[in-house]
Amino acid sequence: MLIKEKKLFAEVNGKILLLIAMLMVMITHGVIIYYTLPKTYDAFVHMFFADHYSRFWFEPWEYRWYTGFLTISYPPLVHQLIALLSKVFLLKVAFSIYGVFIYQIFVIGVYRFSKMFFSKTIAGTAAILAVVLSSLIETIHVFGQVPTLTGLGFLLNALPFLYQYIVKRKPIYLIMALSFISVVVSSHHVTAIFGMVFFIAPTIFMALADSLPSGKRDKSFISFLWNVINDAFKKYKQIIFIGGLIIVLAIGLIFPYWYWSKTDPITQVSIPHGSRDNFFEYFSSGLVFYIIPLTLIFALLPAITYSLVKQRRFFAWAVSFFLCLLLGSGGTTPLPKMILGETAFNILTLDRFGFWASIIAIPFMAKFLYSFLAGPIKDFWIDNFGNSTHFVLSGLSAFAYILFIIFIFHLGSFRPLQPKEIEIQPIQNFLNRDEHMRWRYLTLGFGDQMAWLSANSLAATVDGNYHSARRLPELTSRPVERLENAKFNGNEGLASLRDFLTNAEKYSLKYVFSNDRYYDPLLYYTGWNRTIRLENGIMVWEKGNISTIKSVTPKTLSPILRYMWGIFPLSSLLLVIMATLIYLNKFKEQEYFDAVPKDNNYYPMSVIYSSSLLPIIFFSLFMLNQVYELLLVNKQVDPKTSVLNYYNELDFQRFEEAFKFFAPSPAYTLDQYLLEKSVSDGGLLPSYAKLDSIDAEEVWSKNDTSLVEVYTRWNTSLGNRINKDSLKLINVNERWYIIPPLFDAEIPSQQIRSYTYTLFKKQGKRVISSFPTVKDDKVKKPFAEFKQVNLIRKDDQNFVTGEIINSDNIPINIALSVKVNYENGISKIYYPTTAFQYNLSPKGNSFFQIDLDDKNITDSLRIVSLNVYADTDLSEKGYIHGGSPNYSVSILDSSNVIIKAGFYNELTTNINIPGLLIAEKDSSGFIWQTKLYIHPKALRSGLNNSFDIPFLKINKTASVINTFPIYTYVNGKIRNINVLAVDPIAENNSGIAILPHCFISEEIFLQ
Amino acid sequence: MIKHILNIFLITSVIIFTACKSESSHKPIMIDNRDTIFLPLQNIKFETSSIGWKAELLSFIQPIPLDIHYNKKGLVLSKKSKHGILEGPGKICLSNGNDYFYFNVYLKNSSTPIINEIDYRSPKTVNTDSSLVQQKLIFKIDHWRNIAELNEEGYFFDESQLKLTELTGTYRAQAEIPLSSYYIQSGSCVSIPIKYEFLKHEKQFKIIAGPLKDKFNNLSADGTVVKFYFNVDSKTQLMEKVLLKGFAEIELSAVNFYGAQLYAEVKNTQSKTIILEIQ
Repeated sequence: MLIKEKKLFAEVNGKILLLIAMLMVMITHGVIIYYTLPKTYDAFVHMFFADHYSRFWFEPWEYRWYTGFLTISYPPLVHQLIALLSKVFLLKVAFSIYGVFIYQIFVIGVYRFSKMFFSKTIAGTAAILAVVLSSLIETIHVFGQVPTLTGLGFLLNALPFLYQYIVKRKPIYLIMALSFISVVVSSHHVTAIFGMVFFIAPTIFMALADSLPSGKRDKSFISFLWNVINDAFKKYKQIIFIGGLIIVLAIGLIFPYWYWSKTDPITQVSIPHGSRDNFFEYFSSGLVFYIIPLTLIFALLPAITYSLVKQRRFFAWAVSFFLCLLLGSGGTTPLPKMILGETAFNILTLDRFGFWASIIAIPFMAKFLYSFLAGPIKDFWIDNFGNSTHFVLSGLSAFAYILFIIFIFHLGSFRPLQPKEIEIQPIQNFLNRDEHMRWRYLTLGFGDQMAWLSANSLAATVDGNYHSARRLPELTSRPVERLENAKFNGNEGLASLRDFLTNAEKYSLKYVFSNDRYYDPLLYYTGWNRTIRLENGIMVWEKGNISTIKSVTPKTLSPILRYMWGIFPLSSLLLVIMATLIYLNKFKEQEYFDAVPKDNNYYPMSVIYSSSLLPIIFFSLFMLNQVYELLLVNKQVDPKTSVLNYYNELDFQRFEEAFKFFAPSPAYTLDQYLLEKSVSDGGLLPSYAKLDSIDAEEVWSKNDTSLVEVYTRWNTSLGNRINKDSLKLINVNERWYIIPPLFDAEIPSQQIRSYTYTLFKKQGKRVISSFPTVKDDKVKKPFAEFKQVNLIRKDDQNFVTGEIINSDNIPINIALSVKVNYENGISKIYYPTTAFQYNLSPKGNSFFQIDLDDKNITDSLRIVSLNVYADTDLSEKGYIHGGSPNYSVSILDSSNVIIKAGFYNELTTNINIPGLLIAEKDSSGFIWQTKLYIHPKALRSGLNNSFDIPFLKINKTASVINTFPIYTYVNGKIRNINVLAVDPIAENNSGIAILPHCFISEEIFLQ
Repeated sequence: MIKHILNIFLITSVIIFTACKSESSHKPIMIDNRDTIFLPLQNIKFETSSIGWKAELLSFIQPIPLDIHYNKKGLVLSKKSKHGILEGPGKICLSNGNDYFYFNVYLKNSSTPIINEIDYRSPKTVNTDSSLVQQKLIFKIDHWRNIAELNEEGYFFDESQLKLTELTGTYRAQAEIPLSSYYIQSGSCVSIPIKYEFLKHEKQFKIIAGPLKDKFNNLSADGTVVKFYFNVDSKTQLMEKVLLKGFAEIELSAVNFYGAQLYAEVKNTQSKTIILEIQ
């Protein structure tokens, strides 16, 4: 069917549309960007880098993250420009201004890029489309990836010049192309590298095709392809020249980056990323990385595909587009992994390919949309179905798409990607006073706002938010994005966090700012004390006896490279500005795209129908699905669904919603539910846990009642926990409700309880001076004694066990460590993890166990001696361990025993995590092992609970290693170990001795 | 042509380099050649023909910038400051460009200092479990932190060993200075008296451990952990209490703990075992 061409607005041309697009950028993105920024993935990271250049332009060593890294690990131009803007505006405002500015450049790039394919009017339509394209909106407002946008924006501007140079061979075009590519290289290395494949190569192919005489273009496709290749060989000098210059620029402009990646290669193990998921299995990943950015592309895919394959000159673009679309599908099919290879697949974030596919598709989508709105397709609809049909179809499609766009703008609200905004001023104040900056800190539960804190402080953290640059083995050896969000990285994340919390001395890590109580149990049981809750609600945890930051020798970089890094990238932008001004004044041609062949506007019927209707179908369905999920889905359609949805609400602590799953009854109100919950919750489960997985099974059903067993796996900072609950449900009006379980509350006999606490207060500085050390401020080091220290081997595992006592009259904090001295002067230091009470009351004692490396390592290195160190410090906090435990031991066999334990809470506060430090002793009082047991249920004041602890004794299977000396030191002085004494309590209980070791969340006791 | 250009370039370079070379300064001469100078500094004169000098007084811990005035003969250094200095060897440093000249001097304060006597005790904290001997060190310093002679000429420190009292408390080496405090703390308790009583109305046993005292009859420190172990119904129960004014108390329900065997423990010291019965 032949469709006549009409113009959209007779009086407008492409440039006016471009200006409208740029205006739209200002009034849409310009208004909203400041508010979407804090919720994006990457914005704060880029602001941190910008802050670095703002402070230290020519110094690439950034000491604030990962104990130091080189900023030459990321092309600097974007960060340097924001840094310059930040000299005038606040950093966030500077970033927003830059974001809007680069969006404008991008829109211009889209306009110029589209002119290589179609008319100016369509290019103008493409520019407007770029303003509202979901992939672009997501890139800037959800991901905050301004370098990606910068790189691609300048690349799109470079491509028409490159095209012209190949077609016309005028040097000015080459100069212009290269100057724009310089900015691409200086902004985003990945765009520069892959841009060569997915954008520059198709441009060269198209230019070569357009350079062919018309006779050579019209032959069969194979002949056409042969002619293009033949022509490429004829112009091989020109192509090699271009390629060579691009490579020289790519290497030369950011040479320090290549130098860094060669001399200090990335050793990071692959970190899981949602873009590599199978999107059918992980729908949320598919939604964010494929559906949201590419829905419009899929809706218009028939038209895009038709346009791409209709003209042979687009052949390379078609290959590029479909390849990007395929690679962007992540792990949904095995093809991307086969194409990229295992290594590249696991390193790259694949959403960028989908993004590039959407950019390639813009001119082709614009062509169809223009035709649909004002061209032949519009005529077709009007001729066949009437004016109103076309109007309604256009209006509804646009309305559905606008709703979709609004949804993306607010994606961060519907599906929070980041924690709520944290006021950082109180943290800054804390870091600035009392020389707290002399130690490192760690944030927990901050999300990307940890980078914002770093950008506003000169204090250093062990964490960071740019994992390509980190080199600490504890981080590179684990697939952990950041320590601060360790709970989202499963066991590996928590293991990595635990390493840092226990080896805090190694990194001079003294302060933890916690915005997530999930980590509280881990912090407490690894020897951290709560210090103060800041005005913004952030809890500051502190570890005693930590040395101040030791000087780290920065990785040196030649001054030439440093100046190169500070000058070249910015020069590339200045060069582009100058070159563009000269080009516009002296070389700009009115119709310089005369080589672009004229295209007709023909689309087959199937394409017209599908691409006209699919957008409204896709976006309406998408939005209806969102509405359905939010409002209309029956979450209680069957017993199992009801239970699963109930747990989902619980996991996100939406208790009012969770209550709606209970059978309506005047006797069971929301207030009653919340009261019962407050009485029964508060323990490790569920208060300090995240639901990891859940399975429900309907075990019994009769008429309108059902019994469902729920198996839940909870992720806690102290390991995984599995729980099983049984819930009875009843069907009322086609909805399944949970029958509230009978609540049998244990009531203590006393109405009011009292308990005497003895609290200590260190007087603080005796001389008001900002000098770090004043003689009169010093308090003598409290004294501790080792009661015993033993080296044990059980199977392949080596560990040091023992007991230590606070001999002083003040509560103390003990930093315990074991230094294993091997042959050849090698030594390694180990710290206790959770099997130790780090804070002891006067005359209080604790068992301990410190795990060493396994037998293979220690035997191969040959141990010479062991030094066990205890460094003490006065502690005002942490010495209340709570509770009165009782126990007896039942022997199952020669190794297995059951500890029948109970707890009585005599304190005036709840014990959130009742815990026991259990030591296995033999008849002489010798400690074979120490374990921490924690009970998942909280214990209210004045109540008892009891539980059984299966315990494996090892004294018959393990051995004592005493072939080399063990030296014990207290506060640096060598001390003798006391004579081993029999423990009559342990002897009466089959060798088991216990100490209470509980976590109390109420801050008044400041454990 | 190229040869000519090279020649011109060479000649020009030689002219520029020779023209830019600065002349070396001659060492100024101290006019009255003092070997001791007093602060505040009063006009030290130097003879010199050049200008552009910078002057610093280098004491052995810090550099002090000096004021310079020029006159016909040379320059005059001065420093009007109310502050004194740590006395001792020093240097006057005169610099001009890359030329530095040093003049060794001995630094003294001109004003009469206020001298304080310091009585320093070590260790500051003494536990009665350890030796009750303390080192006493007396010395005098002025308000510029210079050590001064004691009453006897040529002596700066007076050291002696003190036998301390065995009574716990906070004592001051110098009565009016809180920072001179030293501390005698109680040692380990030597025995744990334990008793109980039955509280009829509450139906509870009240167990009292104490008074806990060290070998010199000092009360054990507040906050000391007292562990009460008791066996009841074949279970071992542990209850921790902290000491206050020498005593630790627990209360147990008579219903649950009747007949329980109980003893208290502090570090390595144990009380006798008692059986809870209704008396």
